[in-house]
Amino acid sequence: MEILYVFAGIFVSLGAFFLLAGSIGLLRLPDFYTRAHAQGKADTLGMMLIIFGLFLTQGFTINGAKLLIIIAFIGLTSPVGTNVMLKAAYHCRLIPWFKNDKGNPVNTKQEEEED
Amino acid sequence: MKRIFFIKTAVQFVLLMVVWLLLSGIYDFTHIAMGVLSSTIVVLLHLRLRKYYFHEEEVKEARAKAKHLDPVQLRFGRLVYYVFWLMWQIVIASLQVAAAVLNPKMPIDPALIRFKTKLPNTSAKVILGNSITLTPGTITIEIKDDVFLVHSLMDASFGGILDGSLPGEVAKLYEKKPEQVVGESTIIKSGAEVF
Amino acid sequence: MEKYFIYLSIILTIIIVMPLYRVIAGPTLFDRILGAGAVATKTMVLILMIGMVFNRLDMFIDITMAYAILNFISTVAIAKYLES
Repeated sequence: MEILYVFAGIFVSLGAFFLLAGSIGLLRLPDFYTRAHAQGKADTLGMMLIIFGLFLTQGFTINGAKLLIIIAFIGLTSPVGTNVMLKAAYHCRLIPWFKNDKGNPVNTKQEEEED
Repeated sequence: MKRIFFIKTAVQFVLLMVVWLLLSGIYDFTHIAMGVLSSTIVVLLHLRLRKYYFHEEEVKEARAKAKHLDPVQLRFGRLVYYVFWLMWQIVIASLQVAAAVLNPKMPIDPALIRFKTKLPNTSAKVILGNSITLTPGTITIEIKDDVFLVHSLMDASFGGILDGSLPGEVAKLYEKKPEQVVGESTIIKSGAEVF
Repeated sequence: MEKYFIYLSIILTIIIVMPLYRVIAGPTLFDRILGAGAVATKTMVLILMIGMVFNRLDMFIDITMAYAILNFISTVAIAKYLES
């Protein structure tokens, strides 16, 4: 039983690391599209790892089954949510940031939309 | 046609019932009766939606059956393999993003890629879209008919899509030996060409 | 073991505060929504952690599920509204 708890601790710590990476990415990356990368990937894996770690402490009980359902739900809905947001931004003509593209009006389009 | 519709409705009801039983955790008469009642209500509410949105595909399937052709069917053995393969891809993706974010120089070079695909039906497109979002360095922005628009974080990351390995895996879920899946593609790297 | 989860909850709280900067200062509306979504996803994990600390995971799992569904639906609804 103890060894499972150790593994759970390892999984939860790894997940917390990925959540931290997602948060830092949300702060550091230059524009909306790249931030969605951090939100849609690092966060998803971090949550899955943490919930899997908690599943190890529960075993195959009702609680464990519910945790597995949550993992499946997140794996299905997280990319869909990201995609819907990106599609909305693209349809609002938010121009992405590119590396060798100086003077790009990345964040000026939004004011027109809010009028 | 009618039969396929009925079978699908029954499958939906059973799945809803299984989820109810898992979530409630109490197995006496009252709770199970409530589960049956609410599953029925959900199926009835969903019926109109299914008739409206998924009608065409079901008609297509029925026609293929009537002509004794093999309808395009999801292969479940392949799906299990695919899920584990996708898990591994998600791990790689997150490590890449974490490395790019934590690197003080931030070696990112975003690009937009537009490419055409040949996939058998809508659910294959949905699977491909979600998989692109979860695999290294790429996210789906838009799917219009057969054209995908993808945003990639780094230069190295869209190779897996353009050489057809990821769409090929998705096509293998439905057919044994798919043909060339990815059609022509363009890479956009400046703000003036986006729209 | 409970102590470990308490420490982790504190670290998670710090992680949750970071996207709030994006919510307040985000240059576009979409950045703000993305930051709010990030806060919501991390809060789900925090709720589970608290359930682990109090040894009442069965109760907190249901809350987490409701929160996950709510988060997804709110994201889709806002995006659909902005798209039109």
